[in-house]
Amino acid sequence: MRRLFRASGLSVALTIAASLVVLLVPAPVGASPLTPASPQARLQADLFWVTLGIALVVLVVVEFLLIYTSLRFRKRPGGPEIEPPQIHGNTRLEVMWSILPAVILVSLFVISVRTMANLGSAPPNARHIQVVGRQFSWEFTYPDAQVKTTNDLRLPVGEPVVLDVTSQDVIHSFWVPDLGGKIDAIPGITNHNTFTPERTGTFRGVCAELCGAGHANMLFTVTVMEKGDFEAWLQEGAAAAAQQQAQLAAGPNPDVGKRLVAEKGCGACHTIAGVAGMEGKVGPELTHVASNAAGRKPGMDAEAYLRESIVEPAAFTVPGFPAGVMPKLPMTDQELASIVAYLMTLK
Amino acid sequence: MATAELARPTTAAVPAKARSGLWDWLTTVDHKKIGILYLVTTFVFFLLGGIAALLVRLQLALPGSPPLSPALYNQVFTIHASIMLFLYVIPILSGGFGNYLVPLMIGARDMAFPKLNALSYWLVPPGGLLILSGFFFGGAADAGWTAYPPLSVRGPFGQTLWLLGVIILGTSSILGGLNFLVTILNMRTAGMTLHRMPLFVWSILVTAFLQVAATPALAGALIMQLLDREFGTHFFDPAAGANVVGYQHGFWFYSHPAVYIMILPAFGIISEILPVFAGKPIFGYRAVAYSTAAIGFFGFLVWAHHMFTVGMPLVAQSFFMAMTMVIAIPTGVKMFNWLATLWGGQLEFKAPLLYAVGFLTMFLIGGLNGVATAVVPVDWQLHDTYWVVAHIHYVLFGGSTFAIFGGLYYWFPKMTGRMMSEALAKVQFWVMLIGLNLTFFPMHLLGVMGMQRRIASYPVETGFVPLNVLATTGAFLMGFGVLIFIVNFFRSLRHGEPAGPDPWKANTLEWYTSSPPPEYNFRHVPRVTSERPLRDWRLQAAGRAAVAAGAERH
Repeated sequence: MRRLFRASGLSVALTIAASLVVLLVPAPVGASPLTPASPQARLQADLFWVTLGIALVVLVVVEFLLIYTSLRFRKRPGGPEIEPPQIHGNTRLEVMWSILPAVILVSLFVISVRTMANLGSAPPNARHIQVVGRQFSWEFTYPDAQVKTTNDLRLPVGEPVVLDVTSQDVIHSFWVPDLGGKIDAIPGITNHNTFTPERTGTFRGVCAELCGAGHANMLFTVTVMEKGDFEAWLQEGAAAAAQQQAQLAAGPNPDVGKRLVAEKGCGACHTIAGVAGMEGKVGPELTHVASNAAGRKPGMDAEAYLRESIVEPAAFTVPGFPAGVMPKLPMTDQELASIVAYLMTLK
Repeated sequence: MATAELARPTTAAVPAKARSGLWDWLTTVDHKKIGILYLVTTFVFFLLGGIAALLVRLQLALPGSPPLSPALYNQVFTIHASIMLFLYVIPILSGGFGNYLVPLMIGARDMAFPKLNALSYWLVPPGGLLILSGFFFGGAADAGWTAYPPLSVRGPFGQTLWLLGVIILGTSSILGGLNFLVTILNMRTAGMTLHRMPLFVWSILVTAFLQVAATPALAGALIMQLLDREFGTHFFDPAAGANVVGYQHGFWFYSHPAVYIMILPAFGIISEILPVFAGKPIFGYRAVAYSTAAIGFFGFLVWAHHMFTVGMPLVAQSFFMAMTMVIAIPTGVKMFNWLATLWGGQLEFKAPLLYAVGFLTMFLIGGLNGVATAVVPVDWQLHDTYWVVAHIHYVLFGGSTFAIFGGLYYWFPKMTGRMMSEALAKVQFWVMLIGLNLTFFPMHLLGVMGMQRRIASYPVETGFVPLNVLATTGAFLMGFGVLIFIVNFFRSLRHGEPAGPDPWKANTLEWYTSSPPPEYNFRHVPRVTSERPLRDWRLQAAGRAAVAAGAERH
């Protein structure tokens, strides 16, 4: 009997130990719901630990009982062929083991609802940032300052922020594990997510809803800065945006074009050697696109081809690459002219 | 107490010209042959789905140099899930086991509508071929088995083929469900009240209700998507003012009950196996039966727990959280009833019981990690991560598939007249158990480390590589386990020990007739007086034998 207790207890203990060893593998910095960097993420992480704790207790107890029962009541080989006691049920026992789980679950429900209430909403004067998901990058707009960034969300530490999240094409999902739960970016709907970053640092953000061939590439970073640094960054950005508008109005400008190519998220799918953030492998490499473009479609010169491939991506797909993946990105004629001017420098 | 051989009415030998040729298999309306057609077809699809799974695992073990392009990867995991759910788990349990066993277990000659039954089966291969054919028509479906618009509306032609295929498979499911409802409610043999029928039949009864009531909702959502894709409608077009989340409600209104279609018959199989190999009755027959019905009912009230991140009002999310927790109660009741069935028994660890206990230990894990995702604020972090992938595979592989293998070992003797190799079965069990845990346990960790689902690769700096390599190793081990089963299957077909009508000393009517049964199943079924008729008749025969022996001595 004792041997059975030991055997089944031992196997369960070994499993738990193995799991704990693996569990203690440290999570990489800046990417996990269990390394919270905001009070919201902390509430969610705490609730996760409570739920996990309940689950582990139930798991250990029931697994132990299963293994113990399997070992203890094994038929002895060569033993007499007698039927064991034919027990059909036990009402009291069955009532107890219906009520006990119900009590545990009701408690869990109450704790969960309370957490949902505490996660609550931001104060009315919180900063709003518009988040637009698109295939395959994230665009962040700071409406007061007219600053737009791509894949680069900057936040001041200690300030609550409300993200107004939508999509311009298919469903995406905005998720920064350290800062809080995810919220879907749905075309035609604006969802709201709020959190207060409580420490400076860089955090990983991902798209968490399948959105096409570039889904895995829809990564972004969140940089939480001291308030003063953030204000300075915002002012620089506003000034740069104004300057860019002026440059665009003055005519096609390859330097502006290079910046626009990064802003519009082309790097999620295309590679330009030597340019940071342009490392995507979904579409053709653009390092020498100006030399290749002339030969792609007979009768079309390089500039015309480049223009068409941005404005009407479905018109032609380079052989060997998947059709229907490149989205039609919204852009003004001025932006298009500068982008093409930049691409024409990539010989 | 000595048990005499139970006297059975003799069944005539099958005349040579009535033996099954190809034409017979193609035109049969016999529920047993249709059940076997389902079992073989769905098992082939299981193998195809498994190959797709191994491709997925190879991709994720090699993020630096992934073998598949992202576009092709999206097609491969979409087809993996579509095959496993629509062409394996659902049809093998209801069409395969359900069809073969239900008429036998209730003492009937066949299903209520044998020709409808044949139609249900013959809709499956074309449905499957349509889904797979996308690869040859410019790209298979690639928006996941969930196929959310707008992404799915934009997908390649294979998405249209997928929609047609799934609608056909849904039709097959509805027709099958109708057939089971009528058969079970009307054709039980004399004395077999609802409270004396086998628990497997109970599980098929509830499953059939789910098939009939829920599948039309899926058909609605898919037809709307098909019309948007091919006929210019705007059901899910945000530019036209549509709310694309409406699709998700329609889809999950079916697809949540669908997961109970995928598990309830498996529960039924476990409820059949445990009493036989423990030598005692199921503990709490009524509780097990009613909890099955309760799960079926509450299964209609939880669908939006798949949608906790779309931005629903918090009150609605709390409702669905509450209902999801409520469903855990009848499920827990079953676990305890099964445990109590084993407790105090004389456990014979033949292959079916090994798989049943494996089911209990693995399904428990899947149920508990599901409770974590039921908690709304926790789900806001865990949704669409590998934690969910761990959950679904513990319940569908550790749960349904282990029950399926247990059922195959248990009923193979009835279907073929031969026993399978116990030794090979035991080796397969341990290989698959270890493989399962190696593959899916690390996914809990990957989920809480922030690894999202459905990604074709990931940066190495995330630290996801070692656990993914571990999972891939486990997956190949599971594949090896399946190969062992295939070897066992073919060897046993040819060289297995003759089984006789009742090799396991079981309780239910399918063991009353020969192995395999004659076409008409039973020449005569005595009146049933409990939920274990075969045991009752065995004991009666033993009683009569003892009296006769006593009389002889005088």
